[in-house]
Amino acid sequence: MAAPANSTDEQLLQRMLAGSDEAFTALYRRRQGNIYRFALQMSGSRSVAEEVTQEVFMLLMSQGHRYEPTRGSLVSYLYGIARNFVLRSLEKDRLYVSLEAEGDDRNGSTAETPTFPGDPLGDLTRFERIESLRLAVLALPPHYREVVVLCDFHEMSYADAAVALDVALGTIRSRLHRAHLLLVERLKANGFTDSAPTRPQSARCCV
Amino acid sequence: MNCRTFQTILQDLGKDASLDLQTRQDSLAHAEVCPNCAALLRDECRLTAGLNVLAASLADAEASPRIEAALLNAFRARGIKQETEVEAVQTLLNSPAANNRPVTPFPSPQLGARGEYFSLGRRSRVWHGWPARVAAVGLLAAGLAAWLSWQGSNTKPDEVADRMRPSSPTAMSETSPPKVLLPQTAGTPEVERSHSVSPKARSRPTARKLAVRVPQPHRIVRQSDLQEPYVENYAGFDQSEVATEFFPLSYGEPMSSSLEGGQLVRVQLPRTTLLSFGFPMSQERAPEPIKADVLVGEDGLARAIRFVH
Repeated sequence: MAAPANSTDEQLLQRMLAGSDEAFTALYRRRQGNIYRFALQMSGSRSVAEEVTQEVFMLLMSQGHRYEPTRGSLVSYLYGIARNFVLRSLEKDRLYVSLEAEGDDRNGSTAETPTFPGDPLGDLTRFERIESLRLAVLALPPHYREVVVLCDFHEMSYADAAVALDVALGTIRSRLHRAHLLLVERLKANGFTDSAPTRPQSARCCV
Repeated sequence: MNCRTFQTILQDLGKDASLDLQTRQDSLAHAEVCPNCAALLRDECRLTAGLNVLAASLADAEASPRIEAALLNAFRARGIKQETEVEAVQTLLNSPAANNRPVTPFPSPQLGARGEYFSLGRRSRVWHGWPARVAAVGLLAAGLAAWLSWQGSNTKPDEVADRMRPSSPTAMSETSPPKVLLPQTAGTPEVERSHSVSPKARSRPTARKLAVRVPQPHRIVRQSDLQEPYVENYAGFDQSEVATEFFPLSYGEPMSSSLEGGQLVRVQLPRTTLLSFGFPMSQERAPEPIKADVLVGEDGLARAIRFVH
């Protein structure tokens, strides 16, 4: 039997379902960061992120046998569960974060403040602009936000994101496109970007 | 390359993602001659750079170690529970009296894995038929409650106890655990009497037997405590709820030594109670109470508890 470090997620899951503490611990340590960051980036709240992480793995204990490898990777499955918990939490607690509300909560349980050494990436790398971008992402409607979080933050492929969110691949593309347009619009509204068309979707070939 | 095509691959261009060389060159050539698309590409590149920095700022964020500890405890407790449940089911299956009855383990409503219960993408599919199920359960519960109240007013407790004894000694062994009998009509006023245990359901051909094993949450319960009470399936169980297994509330004596009958009562407890049983608790939701079902013996003492979500 392979050591946990060399085992795939699926192998660890099988061993975990057979009762192996070691496999559960290995799987948790391997994937909890992904799930926690996803929930944190979706909700903006550390406490929600921890609760979601906890519930995802509790559910994996009880219903892990329902995972079907043919439908996608285990990590996509976990993201899918986390997404459902996050959406439920957002719906229940009305955590749709507005810019103002989030700004008032910076000293509370929200995500940690990013730090950026130097200024290597231009305007957006400045703290206030990155913070503005973070708030803009949190202000996106959840179905756009989750695509940004998975594809941009977690660098997930469109295909894996489609599995995790249980939507068509084309839907991922279109949502990501629309989400980026919304982000650019919001950043422009805050004066953080320079010249660009106001409504890019109306652009026509000018060649 | 036109603007529409350009916009469909804009994200891939911004990310420097897997685009074939020809497409990339065509796109960049288009951006050179189309100011709108050039501006879009510039914004996309800046946005992508900003998103990358934002993602990097949280790259090391992880759940606190206490979550891992709590989950590991829950995992171990669950392993113990599964072992005891398997034993209970095997015992029942080996019982000749149980051969003709469908046996189900402790009901564990499906708290939706992805797409099962609360997946927004499939909610409409999942909830088809639920109103009918809820109505059926409600009708069954009302009928059972009416029957119980009529039975309770016309039957002496001793007669009920006689009826509850197994007709065949093979149904349960000499060391079989006590059975939960009928619900008491005088309940605790502060709590909601949500579930009742039917004394006659055993004789009904459609009634399903339910084996409840008392687990060892932290390996501190004595072996003698593990004798499980047999509880009939009750109709008042809300299928949308998720419940833990029962945890024994020991008062210094084995649970089975004095439990001849009892009732389930629904209570609300401070959420911090979860910690007492080794469950993790969200600090953010600490002020909210949590529901629990308490198994109360005939002597009025709470004998076991389970948490309901």
